[in-house]
Amino acid sequence: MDTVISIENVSYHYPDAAENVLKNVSLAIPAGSFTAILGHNGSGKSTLAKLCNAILIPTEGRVTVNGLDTSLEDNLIPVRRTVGMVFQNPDNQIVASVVEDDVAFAPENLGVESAEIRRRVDDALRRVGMYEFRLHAPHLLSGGQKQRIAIAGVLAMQPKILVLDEPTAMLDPLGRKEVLSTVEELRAETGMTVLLITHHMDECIGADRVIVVSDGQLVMDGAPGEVFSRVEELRALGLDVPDTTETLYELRKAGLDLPLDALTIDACADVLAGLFTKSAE
Amino acid sequence: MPDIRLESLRYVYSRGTPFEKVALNDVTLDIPAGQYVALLGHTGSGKSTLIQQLNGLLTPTAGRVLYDGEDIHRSKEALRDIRFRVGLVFQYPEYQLFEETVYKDIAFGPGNMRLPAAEIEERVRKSAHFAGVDESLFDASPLELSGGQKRRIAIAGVMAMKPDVLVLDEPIAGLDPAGCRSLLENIKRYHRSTGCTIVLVTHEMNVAATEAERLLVMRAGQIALDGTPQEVFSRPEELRSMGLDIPGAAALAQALRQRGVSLPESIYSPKYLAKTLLSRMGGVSC
Repeated sequence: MDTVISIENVSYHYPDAAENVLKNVSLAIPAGSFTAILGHNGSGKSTLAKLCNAILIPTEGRVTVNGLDTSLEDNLIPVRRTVGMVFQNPDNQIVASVVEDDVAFAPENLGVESAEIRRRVDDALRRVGMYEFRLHAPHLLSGGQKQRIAIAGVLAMQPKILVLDEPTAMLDPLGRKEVLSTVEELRAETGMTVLLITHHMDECIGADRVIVVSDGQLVMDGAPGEVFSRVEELRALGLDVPDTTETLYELRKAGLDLPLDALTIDACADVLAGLFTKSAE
Repeated sequence: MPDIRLESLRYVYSRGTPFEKVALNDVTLDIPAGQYVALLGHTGSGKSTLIQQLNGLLTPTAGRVLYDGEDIHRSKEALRDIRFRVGLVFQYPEYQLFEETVYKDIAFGPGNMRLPAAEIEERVRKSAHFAGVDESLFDASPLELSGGQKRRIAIAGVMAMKPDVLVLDEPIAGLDPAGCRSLLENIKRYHRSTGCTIVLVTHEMNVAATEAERLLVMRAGQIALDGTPQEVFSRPEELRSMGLDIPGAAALAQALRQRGVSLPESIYSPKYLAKTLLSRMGGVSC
């Protein structure tokens, strides 16, 4: 698969900070992949996300998006069009008083002509399941709905890559499900590349790849099943594992020979139910 | 420590306008002194309105808020007294910080209570310790610290007022798992050592299951479910219909029951599920 984001030996230093928040990080994101990024508060994961669409420029090293170096002024607009970002707090991302105006904001700024804007806005709102709300006031919507509007606003720019920085941190369980299933559908329909930063271990289960950032470095990188099998290491890094893994881990500690990588509720229940049919025989 | 009683409480936002919204609809509720309660419900179900009634920030449209049988709105003095006794930590409490130093920020509440200086200093040190704020940060500007540290400072500031009732609105949103665990441990330690009442608003079902002794679930301005974690989480369909969920381990236990493994309803932590499975297996193989 083609690499759409390439991060090469990147370090980043905030002005006035004592040390680098990212330390010589290298990472390649393949087109169409779904990567989840985990890490403790202050680990550097949000910085990593902001480097992907030129909100931040590396202090050392190079970030390229579709081959375009993000540090070059001329590449700024094409990079921002390619990489759409959604942040934690939906209230900070909504600018207009009518849903469809809000979604139209970015393409209007990009100078897209008006018939095309209309088409993109309708399409984006349908994709996130908010078309019926196009004439509503965003501030009267629920957190999950607002976050879907923010995603629609990003989609209207027709980006190839979607970066979501803790998009569910402020949402209730239903809002969280709405946002995650919207992202899942987008991936299925458009083949979009997705980077999801999260503190919720269970949101990583569906990813192709989980990356763990700690103190500015990438310390784990693998399929969700591989990463979550390293229970003790994750806990030492201030992280956790899904309830499924933890149940399997506790049973392994008691001497049962069980795999740790049955992450979904169904896969894990199958493994555990298997114990009973075996011991009954 | 007070017994709290909400009596036929009703609250309507923007009354008489086209935006009129009934946020609390005839809520009657008793919270005995010293209880640790988790308040659940989807966005807009009335949780924030309810907790703002607990310290008199909002005046009921109808009904009463009683502390030990007395209406908190009976006089200005009574209301002022309640504000000191009920500590409210808002969602994103880091936005509440404003002093030049961490020490001054934590000391702000007890300072308002006009306590002697020595007493204030002792309270600042104790509550900083409880909330996990290191004394080496006392001279730092609170605005330059990380999100997790800011939140601890804001919580320390509320604890320094030694509230009889500590109300926390989503205190762990956005914290990493370790930060979340240590904050919850600190809250529990404060609860145990002071015997105060805790009301914790959360969207995290796992947290509600393991921290609180009683869960209140709100829907459309009313208390829809009220019981122990065991009672509430044994009703997954109802919870889901209200936009909520059950903890992962409870969902796993449910999936196992569907596969013919008999398990009690009371499972909502991975450790307890593992323990129960082990004892079941022992029973089968012997």
